[in-house]
Amino acid sequence: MRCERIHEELPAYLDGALSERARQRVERHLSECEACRRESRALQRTVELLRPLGGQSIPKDVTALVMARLPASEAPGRAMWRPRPVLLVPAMLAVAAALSLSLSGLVPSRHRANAEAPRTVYLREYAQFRASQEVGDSTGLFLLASEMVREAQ
Amino acid sequence: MIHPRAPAAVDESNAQGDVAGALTDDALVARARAGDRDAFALLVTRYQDRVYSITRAFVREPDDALDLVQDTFVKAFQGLPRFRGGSSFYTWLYRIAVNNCKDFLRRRAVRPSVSLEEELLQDAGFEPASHDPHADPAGMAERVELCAAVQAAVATLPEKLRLAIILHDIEGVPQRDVAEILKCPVGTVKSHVFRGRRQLRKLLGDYVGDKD
Repeated sequence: MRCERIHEELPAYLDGALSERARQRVERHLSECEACRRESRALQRTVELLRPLGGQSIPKDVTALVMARLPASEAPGRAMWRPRPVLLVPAMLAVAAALSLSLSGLVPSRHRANAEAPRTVYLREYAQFRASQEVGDSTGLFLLASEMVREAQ
Repeated sequence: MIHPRAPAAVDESNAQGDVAGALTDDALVARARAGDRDAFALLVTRYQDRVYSITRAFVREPDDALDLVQDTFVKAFQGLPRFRGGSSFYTWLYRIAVNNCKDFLRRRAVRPSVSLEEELLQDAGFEPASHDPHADPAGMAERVELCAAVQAAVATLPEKLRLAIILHDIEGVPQRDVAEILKCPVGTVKSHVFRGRRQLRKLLGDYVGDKD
């Protein structure tokens, strides 16, 4: 009967989740009972066998497949304002000019004196990501342009 | 369209003031909610391995798992307006993945009953561990078979125990996050993990017992 109770406590014991008093009780029993020591080792081995089952890598990148399956509406769950191309072109030109000036040092930037701001890094990584994509959806470009304008100011 | 492989996972706890923090899940989720599909694509790329791994713990067929991974992300996208940020994105996403897998298994009704445990272990190509002292228990073939046996044993667990074991012991999700994913108290997760381990130990019998 006592062994059964110890068996019930073994998982928590092996996880270090028992109270000090309970831990001492289990350890005292284990020091006297070979059967429970075997059970403890078996339980430990069971847990060790589980972890290698995890952490599997997906055999192929499904990002494009997922994106192709998304609903057609612009934003999830609601419609979103979409910039008209007639507005987009001047905005992009303004962004390009502002960014060019900012990067060349002609326009003061609040970030330049310090280490590169995280947001700047984000924008650059985002721009690199966009550059690797086919240009189709102009909304993302417009948002990026808007961010760049704010960043350059 | 070719997307870049997953960027390194962002540790949200270290995100504040960190350069890597510029690409936090929160930032990407905010953009995705605003309609930025590229931001959502980055989230997919970032989490597809982990969602796949969890899914494979439920579903044996890789093709089924790949379909379920896609379903999970599509549902996540559709559910973004309801994601309020009360929990981390990844626990929210894992919850969708887990529910998706549960629905799939219910539809397929593939979960065998515990009474089939021995048959299932035999189906996995696994014979009881040899007590022959000349046997080589560390052999690669045996380890592969052992993995199959453990997977089969996990599949026989009652659902609540199985979920806790898969998320915590197999995927290494902290118990407090498992509680968030499964929407139950941490104490319940602990109890399910411990009971699941004990049942697994019984199911695996001599496979995890001493060889002498």
